[in-house]
Amino acid sequence: MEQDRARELLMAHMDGEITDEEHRELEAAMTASPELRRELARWEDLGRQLAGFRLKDPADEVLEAIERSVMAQTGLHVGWFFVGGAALLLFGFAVVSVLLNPHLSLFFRASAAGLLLGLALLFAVKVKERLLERQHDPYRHVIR
Amino acid sequence: MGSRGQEPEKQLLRRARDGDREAFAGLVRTHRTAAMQIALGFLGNEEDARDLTQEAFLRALSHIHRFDVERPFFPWFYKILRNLCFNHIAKRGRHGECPLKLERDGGIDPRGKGDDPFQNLAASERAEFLWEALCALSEDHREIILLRHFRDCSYQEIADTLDIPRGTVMSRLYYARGALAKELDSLLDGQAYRLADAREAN
Repeated sequence: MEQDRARELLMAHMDGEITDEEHRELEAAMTASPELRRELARWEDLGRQLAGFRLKDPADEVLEAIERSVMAQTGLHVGWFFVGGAALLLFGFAVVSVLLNPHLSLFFRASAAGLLLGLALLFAVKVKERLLERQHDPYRHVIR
Repeated sequence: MGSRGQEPEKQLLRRARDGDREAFAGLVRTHRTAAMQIALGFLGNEEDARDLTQEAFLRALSHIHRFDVERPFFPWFYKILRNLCFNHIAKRGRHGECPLKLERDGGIDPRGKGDDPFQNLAASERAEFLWEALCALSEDHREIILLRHFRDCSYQEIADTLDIPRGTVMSRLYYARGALAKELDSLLDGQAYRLADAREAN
């Protein structure tokens, strides 16, 4: 039997998740290799030690504070949606009004266009920096 | 995971999806302890765990319209919380900080205390060692130990929650337990040396 398969079966046996067929497979492997039986005893010992502990219960005040805070913030996302959407619309309207307004001087419109271009470039550079950083990020496999 | 009170939970989920804030508060009350324990297990300290638990509930609320109420809430919520915790750890690592900020008191207790104070003290010390060893594991290893040993999840529940095959659950458990045993050995050895040094000094 392959070593990896034997390890999987040891875990299933220890956790009481082994099927009858897997059990026969493991018994045959343990007969062939007594070291596997000793390994199983070591794993079971670790399991018994872990069974003596449990995750600590958080304090009631902490749990109540979580609930209070969550419920206090439940309307916030709707608020942010409206604020964000309205800000975007206003910004677009301001851009169009300034750049296409023939009553404003060319100098003013050019300055405004330069400012917007600068902001767009800064944003692009920041995005590029994040993407490069991500390539060397040891946690990039983490699902976002 | 998620097997408790199926029918009332379904009703709560339906009402919460329809915008009933009280129903969502009911879901928060049902799952806040488990959520906080898991976040503490991932992050190692109560402050971060509390912040991310709150954030996870808020994200669950904002996406609840996409959730199939016929399914149990907790596995779905767990994924949100897990991703938030892993992102937080990754962010700390990117900023050059230690990915985990460990709680001094730890996140693990001995199961049931006896009458003998010395035995209780020894059990509390062992709990601290175990907590330190757990926090030294990689996120994947810590997660599978938490799910199997501290949330009593079956292999199938773990496989469903993490979207991995049953065989991967078994092999990941093998390596996670191996890493935990190694950490415990090294911690307990260190402690034995420190005790030996103290005896010699006296």
